[in-house]
Amino acid sequence: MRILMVSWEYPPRKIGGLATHVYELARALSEIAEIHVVTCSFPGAPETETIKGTTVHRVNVYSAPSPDFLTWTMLMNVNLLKAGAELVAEKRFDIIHCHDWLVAPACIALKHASSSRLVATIHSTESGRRHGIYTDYQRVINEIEGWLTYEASRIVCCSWSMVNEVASLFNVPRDKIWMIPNGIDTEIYRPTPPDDLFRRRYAKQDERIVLYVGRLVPEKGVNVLIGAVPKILSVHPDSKFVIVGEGYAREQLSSLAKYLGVDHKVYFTGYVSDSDIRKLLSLAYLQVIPSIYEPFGIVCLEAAASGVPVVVSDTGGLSEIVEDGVTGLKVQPDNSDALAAAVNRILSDAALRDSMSKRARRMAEERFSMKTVADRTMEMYRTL
Amino acid sequence: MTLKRVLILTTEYPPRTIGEVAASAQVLSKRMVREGILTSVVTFDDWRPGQTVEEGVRVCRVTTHVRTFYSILTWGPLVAPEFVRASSEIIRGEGVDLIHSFEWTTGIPAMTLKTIHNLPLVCTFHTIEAQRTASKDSPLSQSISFLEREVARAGDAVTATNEITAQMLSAEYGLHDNVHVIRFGVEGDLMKLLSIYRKLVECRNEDIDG
Repeated sequence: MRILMVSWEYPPRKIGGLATHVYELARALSEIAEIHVVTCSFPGAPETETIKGTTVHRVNVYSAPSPDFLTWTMLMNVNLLKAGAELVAEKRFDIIHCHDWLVAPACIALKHASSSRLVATIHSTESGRRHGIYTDYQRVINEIEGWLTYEASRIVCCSWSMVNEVASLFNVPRDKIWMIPNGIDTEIYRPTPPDDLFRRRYAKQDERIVLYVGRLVPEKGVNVLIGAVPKILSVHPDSKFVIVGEGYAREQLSSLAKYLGVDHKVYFTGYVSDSDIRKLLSLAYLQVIPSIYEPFGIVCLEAAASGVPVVVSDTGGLSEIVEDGVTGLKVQPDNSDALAAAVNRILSDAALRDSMSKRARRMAEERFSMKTVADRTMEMYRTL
Repeated sequence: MTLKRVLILTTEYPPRTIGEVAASAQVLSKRMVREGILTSVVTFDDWRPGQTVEEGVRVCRVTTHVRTFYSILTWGPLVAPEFVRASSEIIRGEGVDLIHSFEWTTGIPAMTLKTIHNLPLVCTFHTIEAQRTASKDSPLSQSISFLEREVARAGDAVTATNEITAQMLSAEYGLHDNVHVIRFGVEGDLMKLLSIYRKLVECRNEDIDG
């Protein structure tokens, strides 16, 4: 079987969790099928390369300036379509696998031009991200998502909450939707001894690190975590909050920490490489995922596989990954008091932390291995 | 194999008329029918989607799934897959020997069809962005110019409907000698276009045979 995956991000170009997901999925599938990925170019990355069985075709999408992101996305589709067409003219693909609305126009055009079957993974929805559709900009994205679900022969959602969301938003028959969770490479993410020299960059020797990893955008609820910091510090003054990631809300979040008088205990790292994130996981006492909207939450799996207990919002995919009190703690979303109480509970109970750490690791190995995800994806492809 | 079937892609075709493009596409398609060429037109029409035969021309009108209009730059790429869908059905059905696209909007699907189905492509421009815009350096105009350049360069032959557009195409997009002036109301020009068509189809056949 020959599969063409189209994604706007693929390592080293990483914006959210999509790049890692597509990379891991392609790598796992390449053991049983011929996989090609068409993606955007990245400075220093080769135009074409084969990475662990996956042939990656990087397309220059920066040839014209754009008035805004939506327009840029459509021009990106023109470039991806041009490259995809050349590939399709050369090889016959059984499946075109589209990752999210961003590349939908190119994938739909390739489907019709080539008679390949279209599979779409909807990683999240515009309505979910924005808590509704309020502007024409959002409406266009929402309509593209609906169009993609109409054109695709199979739709993949990473959690049951996403299955419900996609089915109800776009009126999609449920038998067209497959729930296949994201997976994790438990060899790469595993408990490792802490690097004390590395630790000095982020916290003092006697401080316990409470880690956040993710984009700094409203839907991730980082403001809820910062709102909880005074209550946590009043019980555990030895805690240090390391906020990893970038986003347009960074300045606002930084101001909030200052306003609450906790800016000396909240460290915004900015962008951090994957290998440094793994080192930070080995140092973290616990990880907090305070999302307001979270279709899956790959960072939760990364923490679990690394043996780091988590405190998560009881929402979306996070609710389905975490077993409350067993592999982590779940709290009401958008509630700083509940979040502070849960973090304090883990900081106060070393035995609970150790037990959650071990069980979280086991859960990652048993339920979310890349092999399980690849097998299920191949099973879905074979139904077409 | 000689020229027997032509596929014309245009965002305007009567009754949907915004500018000169609709009339040009209609004159061309009717003339091709008179030459005994099986002529199909794929066009955009929000109000009349579906297929009809009008004065010997098979007209397939498509619409877009994305109903909200954001800008012309998003509209073009969003309607392109529907042009590809309808055109691919025609290509896979009775076959097509040559594609003719009008302006950059239908140039996007035309480039895809040319690449995947290995068909010669003729691109026509009535005007280009540099002639229309008051702010050539704005991101919108630069992006449209980028798309026009891509389409023009993908064309095996490029035609303009007047001398000024032909000169601008050559100057702005570096096309040099291969821009032909074809005025769709002039019989001699249409015959010239027909000979360009025949030459391109012959070249393609030679490439396949070779």
